[in-house]
Amino acid sequence: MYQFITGPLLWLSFTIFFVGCFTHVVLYIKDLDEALDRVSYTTHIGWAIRGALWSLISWMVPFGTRSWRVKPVYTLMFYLFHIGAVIAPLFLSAHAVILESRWGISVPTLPDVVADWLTVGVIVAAVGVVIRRFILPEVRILTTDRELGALFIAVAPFVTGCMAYHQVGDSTYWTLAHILSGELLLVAIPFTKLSHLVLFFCSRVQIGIDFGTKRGGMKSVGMPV
Amino acid sequence: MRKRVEATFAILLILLCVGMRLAYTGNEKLPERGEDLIILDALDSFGERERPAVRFPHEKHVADEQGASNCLVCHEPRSEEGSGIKFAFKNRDGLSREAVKDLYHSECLGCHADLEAAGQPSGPQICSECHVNSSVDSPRSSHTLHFDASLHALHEDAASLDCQACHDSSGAVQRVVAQDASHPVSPKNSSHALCITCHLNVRTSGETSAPLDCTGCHANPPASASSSEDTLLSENVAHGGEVTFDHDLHESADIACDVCHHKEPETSCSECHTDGASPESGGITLQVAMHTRSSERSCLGCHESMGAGVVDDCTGCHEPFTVGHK
Repeated sequence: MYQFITGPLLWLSFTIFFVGCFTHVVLYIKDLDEALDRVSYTTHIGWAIRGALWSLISWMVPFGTRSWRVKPVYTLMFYLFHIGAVIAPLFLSAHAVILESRWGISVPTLPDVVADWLTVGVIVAAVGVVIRRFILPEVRILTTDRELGALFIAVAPFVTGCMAYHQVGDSTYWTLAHILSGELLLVAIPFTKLSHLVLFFCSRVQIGIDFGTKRGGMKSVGMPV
Repeated sequence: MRKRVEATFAILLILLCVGMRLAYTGNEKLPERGEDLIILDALDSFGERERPAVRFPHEKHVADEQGASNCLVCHEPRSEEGSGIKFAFKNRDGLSREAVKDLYHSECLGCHADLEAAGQPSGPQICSECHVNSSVDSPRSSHTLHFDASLHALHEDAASLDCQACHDSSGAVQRVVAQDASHPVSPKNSSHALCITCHLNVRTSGETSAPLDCTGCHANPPASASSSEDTLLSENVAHGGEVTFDHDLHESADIACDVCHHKEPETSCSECHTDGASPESGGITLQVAMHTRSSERSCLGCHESMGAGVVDDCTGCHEPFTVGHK
């Protein structure tokens, strides 16, 4: 069982994940249309790159944009969730052991206690996000089973991983559930709203170029200040 | 369909987990215990551990029918021929914390994975199956070895060992001296080096009686041993080691009383020199008091100075260990 789900099934999940994400990016770029979007993506390449990077960085830094600053509690929940969700699995020592033993790849690792707190942060933030979704009318009307389903899939590996790490109940079951839910998350990413894993970068780059060139980004170029 | 793909995946995940829970005849993992249990605490010397130490059931890893060569799967042979194996896991010396961790993971998990791939019974590959939380720990079982008279007789009679095979000239069990004085050899490792090296050599020579598995020696339940019928029986049928001291003979040998009774004429040796180093004895145990060659108060010292030559035959004083009624 363990060999199968961390062997062929893992390969399959990774393949679907990478091919799916790559396809998303390719299709996104392919579907850009300078005429329809009325954005000259390639004309002012320097300004375009500057705008794209500025947009990416501003939105990735906590409280880096106005929208982050007007909702500080949500911003904290958001970063608590996303920082943990990205860093904990990538640098978990137990994952590194598998990488090392299977493929001989050595990666830097976090102390287990840090990864544990990040995981708890992810779970707490997810609960907070769900509560917010139910109590604020402006997001409640947007909340469908798609949103809740995506959140459930995304959080499941962290809950099961936490149970396995702390050996609550049958830790073998929790570990197997953790692996399977992690693989389902990988598979689900290209097919669900979780595809924002790559599409966030695509849309930020696109909007960054738009604002960096056309919508005021080049306003002072050639103009008297 | 496309609109509900997240929910579909979520429901699938729930079904998957519930199904696995139902299908999986999992067992609550209990910490390993028993006489053969070894706590793998090699990382302790590098500071605090991140995961619970592995409770390693040695017996499960020893396929006895393969004999001594099987040890070399995990242990290195010592450099000198016939000097046994190193008890630490192979290739571990001088490694960093991360390297020790990698070594155990690659060797243990690699072997377990290979066995599973070969369709053979295998060991755990999931973190918590080896690193069992100490919060659900049970006390480490005792490794005390009851080397009683019958076992002594077995080594002397059946294995035809001289006293000196195990004892030094003071009568104590031989201790292995560390090559590096800053890392003294623990009594445990010393005894293992003495016994297992000998057993290994016996087994290598084709003889099968010397046990190499942990419970071959550490089998008695320690706490209840004194009341166990088996132990009582073995103590009744085997005896030996006693010294029958002929006081009259020593008196007639022109030895003054105070040579032996150096404190007071009426005080016997064992009043001060107990088995432990009591304060009255000046830290000299009964065994040392009887066997110190450099002291004329001791049996050995006196016998040698009286011209008996170097005493190296224990059975000149001690009864041989034999199986049978007294």
